[in-house]
Amino acid sequence: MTPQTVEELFATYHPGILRMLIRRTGDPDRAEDLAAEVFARALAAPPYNPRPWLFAVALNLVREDGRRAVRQGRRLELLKAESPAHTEAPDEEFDRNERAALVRRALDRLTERDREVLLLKAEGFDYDEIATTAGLAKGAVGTTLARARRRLVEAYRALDAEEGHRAAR
Amino acid sequence: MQHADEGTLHSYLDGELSPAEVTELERHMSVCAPCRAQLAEARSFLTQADDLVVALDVALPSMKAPVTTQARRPWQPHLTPLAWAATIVLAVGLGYSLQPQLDQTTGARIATSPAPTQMADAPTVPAPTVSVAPRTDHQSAKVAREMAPTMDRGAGEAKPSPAAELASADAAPAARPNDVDHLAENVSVTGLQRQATPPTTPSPAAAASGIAMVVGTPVDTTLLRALNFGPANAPAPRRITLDEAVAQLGGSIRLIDGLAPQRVELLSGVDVPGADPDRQVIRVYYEEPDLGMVTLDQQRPGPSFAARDARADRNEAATPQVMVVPAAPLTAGRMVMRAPTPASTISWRTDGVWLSLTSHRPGVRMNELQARVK
Repeated sequence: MTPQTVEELFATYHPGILRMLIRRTGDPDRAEDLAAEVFARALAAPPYNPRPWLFAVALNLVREDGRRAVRQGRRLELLKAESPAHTEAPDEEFDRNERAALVRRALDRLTERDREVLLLKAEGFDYDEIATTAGLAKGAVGTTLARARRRLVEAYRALDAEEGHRAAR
Repeated sequence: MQHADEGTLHSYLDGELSPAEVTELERHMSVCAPCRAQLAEARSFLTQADDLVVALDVALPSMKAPVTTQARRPWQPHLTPLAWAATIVLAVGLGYSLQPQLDQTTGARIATSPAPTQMADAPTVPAPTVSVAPRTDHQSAKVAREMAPTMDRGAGEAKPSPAAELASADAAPAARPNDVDHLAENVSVTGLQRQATPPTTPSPAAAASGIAMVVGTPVDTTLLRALNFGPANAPAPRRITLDEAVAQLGGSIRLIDGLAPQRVELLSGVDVPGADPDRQVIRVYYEEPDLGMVTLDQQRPGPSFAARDARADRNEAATPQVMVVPAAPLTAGRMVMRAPTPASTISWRTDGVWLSLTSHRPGVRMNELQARVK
């Protein structure tokens, strides 16, 4: 059953949209604002095929917001937050956060398209939905996903190795 | 068939190939070692990439997002240990209930609660147990359900999640789940009415002082909350302004010196461990990079609750109680934000106001924070 009212849309899709936006932006506050904007737009023009529509709007907003943020120099702040903190006694949480920061940097090395298909797949989208949402031909989804996965893993390995060298020095 | 390309292998692993394509690929794979190796590599990239994407979720600084939009009740973790405590309190309370003395506050609640006869004695537990009455009721409700297995349990069954069960248990002094919403309203309304005529009326000066409200998302959070929470089993927390909070509390509101409040909510006392369940609680949220999420609850408890607390204070030399409870792991339906961390809570009273400070990050110096509450 597909949700009909905006209430149903919200209940069904908001958690996923927010999760994807947080993964994409690394900034929960910004992600929340963007998710709110997605549903404000859904309220203004209820989508016919909601899931791809909502996620496509969310990803568009990230791109727009990213361009604006670059102009405003906001990325500086984000980069500062991401740079690994000085090496204290590592506890488990610190390790996890450091790993996440590294994954984020790896993700940033991908193309926008590769990032989007990865995040949509992680939200349980099938190839048809990914094609619709990301504006790809269905036949290209497998190839794009394959490339995106490989690049993410390789970028992460490279960064991890760099960090290892830095720590060793 | 030619060697399979990387895209086809990922499509195969993602279950996106047609049955005919699967058959063809598998037939080829059975005779082609290089393609088998390719498939193993593709599978490795796939699982590693999935793990990496999920690893992004733990970099979040706090549990703020689920609190505002996901978690129905972020303070739920506190309930479980209290439920155990309530089992003991129930035993003591039943002993007291043999005495004819009946607390006016709980009596009022019974009057509005269409409770089944076998439940009638549970809420009449006198003053000493009033503060944990909902938990006590929770236990009684369980007993009653066991005693009457044929009873209509529609509402309780419809929402099998632990959260929903806890919620309905909190709100229902009686074991009639269909009355849960109704009762929850009653509790809330009763609280509001009492709050409307507090011993010290809110000064117009305070109400008109115009303390700025910190605004988070640019949307109507009441609407979002209503959408997100669905049909409420208990009165959902309502976001209010600091001015409303001052009026509600009937006096000036306490804040943590040097920190900026993110938002203020009005909750039913039933939802706040240690608070008078018959009155509403003001909860001020703080979000600081070095402290994580900190909440400051405050309430002007009713007379019966105050009496109980005074007795407890005499017995325990008025030392503030610090309890450490494990936060509930976030379940699959919600976002996995971070690993469960213990939350610590410190509660005390000043000038007839009950206060409770909770931090969700380990290592926060609660006593220092408490000293800054002004």
